Amino acid sequence: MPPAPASSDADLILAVLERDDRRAFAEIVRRHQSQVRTVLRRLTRGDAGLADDLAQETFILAWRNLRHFRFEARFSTWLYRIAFNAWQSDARKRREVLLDTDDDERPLLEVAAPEEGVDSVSRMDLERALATLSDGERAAIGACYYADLSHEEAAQALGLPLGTVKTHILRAKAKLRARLAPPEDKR
Amino acid sequence: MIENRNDDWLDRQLRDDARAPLEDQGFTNRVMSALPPAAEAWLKPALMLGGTALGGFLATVLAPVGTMVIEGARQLGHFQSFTPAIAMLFAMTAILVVAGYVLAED
Repeated sequence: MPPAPASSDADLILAVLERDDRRAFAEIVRRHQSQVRTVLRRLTRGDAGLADDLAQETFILAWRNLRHFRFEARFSTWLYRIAFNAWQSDARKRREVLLDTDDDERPLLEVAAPEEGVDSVSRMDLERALATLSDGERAAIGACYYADLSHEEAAQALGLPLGTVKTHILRAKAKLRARLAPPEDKR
Repeated sequence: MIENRNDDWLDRQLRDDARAPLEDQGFTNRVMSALPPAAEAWLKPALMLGGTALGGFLATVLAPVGTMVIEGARQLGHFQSFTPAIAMLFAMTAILVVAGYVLAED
């Protein structure tokens, strides 16, 4: 029997743990795929293919470790932590990731075309602007705005001191402001 | 003041971008097909329970107390009244079932 659409994340997780219910897990993936893939696209500087590979790895790791999920925190927060770890681990394999320094010199990847039906121009601009941030700044913005974590949760998820996360957010926003002036300032 | 207004605008842009839905486009199916096969879920408990049953059988046949357990099974088969041998058979069975269950749950 497929899970009821109104089932909470906790109900679905229990169905997976108790009955190895794959339909319930598929519903979990359907619910969270958009945000997990979006945050990973921003973290990978718009590399949609890599982001989807990391998102897939994230959900498979979530499946394997679901037994360790404690229902004290939001499931999405737990999922984002796995996603950040997957991204950091992959990035370390490719090159050294320095979350606590600036590294603006890296070449940008071609930003993926925006989805249909959204504000294409501003999203494209935002993607390009986010891609110019350092790894640490992008990770902090990804954690606090895209994963909706508090500064404390972001610091824990990224393994950074709280002060560093706050500094990254301030610097990132200053850079984004400089690149993306509000509409009224463009006149 | 201008910075605050810019911040509000920037916050809104970032949050709108984060909330913009991304079409599934087969992603969920891709994840589901990459999960470990379902057989793995029952194979481990089955191996543990099977191993426990085999161990119990060998212990019954080889251990000194085994003859009493076999005698209990024989007496039970002949619908005899509740004898010490039958009690021993039940106790051994209960121990094996509990041990197997604990192992499988782990």
